[in-house]
Amino acid sequence: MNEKKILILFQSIHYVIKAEKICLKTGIPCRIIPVPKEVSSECGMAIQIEESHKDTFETTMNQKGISFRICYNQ
Amino acid sequence: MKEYNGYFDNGATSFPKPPQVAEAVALYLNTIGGPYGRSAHSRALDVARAVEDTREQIASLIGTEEAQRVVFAPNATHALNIILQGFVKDSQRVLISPLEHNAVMRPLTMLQKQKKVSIVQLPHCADGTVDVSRIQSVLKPDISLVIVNHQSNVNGIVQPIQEIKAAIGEIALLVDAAQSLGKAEVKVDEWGIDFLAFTGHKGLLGPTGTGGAYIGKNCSISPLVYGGTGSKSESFAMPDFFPDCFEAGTPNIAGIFGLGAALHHPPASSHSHEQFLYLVKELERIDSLTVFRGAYLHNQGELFSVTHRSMSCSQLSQLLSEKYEIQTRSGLHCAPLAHTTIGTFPTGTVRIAVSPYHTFDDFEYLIRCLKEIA
Repeated sequence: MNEKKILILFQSIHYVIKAEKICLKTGIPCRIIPVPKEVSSECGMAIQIEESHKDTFETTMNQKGISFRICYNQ
Repeated sequence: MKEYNGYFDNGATSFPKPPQVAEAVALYLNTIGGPYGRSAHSRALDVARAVEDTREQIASLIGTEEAQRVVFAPNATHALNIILQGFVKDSQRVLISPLEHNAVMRPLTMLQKQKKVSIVQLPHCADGTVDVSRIQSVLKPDISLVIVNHQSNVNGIVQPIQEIKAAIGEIALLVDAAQSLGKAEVKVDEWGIDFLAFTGHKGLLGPTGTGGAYIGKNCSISPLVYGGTGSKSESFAMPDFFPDCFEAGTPNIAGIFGLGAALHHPPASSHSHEQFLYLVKELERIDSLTVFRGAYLHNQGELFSVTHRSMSCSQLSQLLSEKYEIQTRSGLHCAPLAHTTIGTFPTGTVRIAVSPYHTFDDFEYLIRCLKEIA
């Protein structure tokens, strides 16, 4: 499986961990990875998910009031 | 000879701790290592998960879902300084309870000298309980903040926070929960608490050097400390989002690991509240002692003070320590205002602060020793 992956950035590490927990709870496979330097100097960690989960991810995070930025497709 | 738990200085810092606390501190120092919020390797990730879990635990304990508004600080004093120095900006009037600790009084006095605040005491009963029925009489339009010490570190009374908030309406409320958190119920959202300061090493049974503040969404305050946060690193300005805006510099990660373990493993109390009240009542029967506690037992936390008819506080505390291996704290307990309120300033009292690890046998031992001294 080489499904397209997207990178999601957060302002603070607090929200990375919170988002990871929510992904685990809602069944969205995710991985925490270092933020590529060319992308951002934000909190240093980002969440990577498969693009097919993008809509669920966005809906869930918006419901929880968590700000995020979808960065780019890998 | 049977060994008793003679440590009654839990108002200063708790002892013993749940064994998992030291294990967690050692796990971080010896095995996990790594920074918080500064890197993205596996150790940093393990640390971030542990720190954020502790933050979530605190948020849950104080009754809020907004864990990002819980910011870590080295202790309750630092947290109170974040709030007081960040909130008070110009000429304002603040109301305080009559049992405030110097962790509040000293920063407030500094702000008063800078002409930023004037300080007014809330109406109260003889034991220092805020008299909610008379609060309206001191409310003025220029009052910006009401500060209440939740549980007194001198006589142990627990203030009626919900009733106080109902009486002050929209005025911001700061609760100093240094003595109460882990022992008395706190619900920041439900009760309308705007600011809360707590420590990790007293009622929560965590390590020293841990604590923090809850900063509610209705109040805008400036940071006290500026510096690196691991976020927004391209900017010389502090981040404007929680919790980073109040967490410059690497936190006490080892301590937060320990605090997290304490929150996950709170011990069941080895005594009942009735047994604690028995201790108080038995000491009240000793003629040479005066017990300082709340007038009514329904708002009495498990801490109180005593004085002796003929011995000074330091003499009594020293005798308890040297002859009976009972540790207490004598003096003013950094709370001269509270001692003035209850009439024990400037000589102070001997404080007896109980832990969940105390058994009824420990109470009986303390009673026997004080009867023998009498």
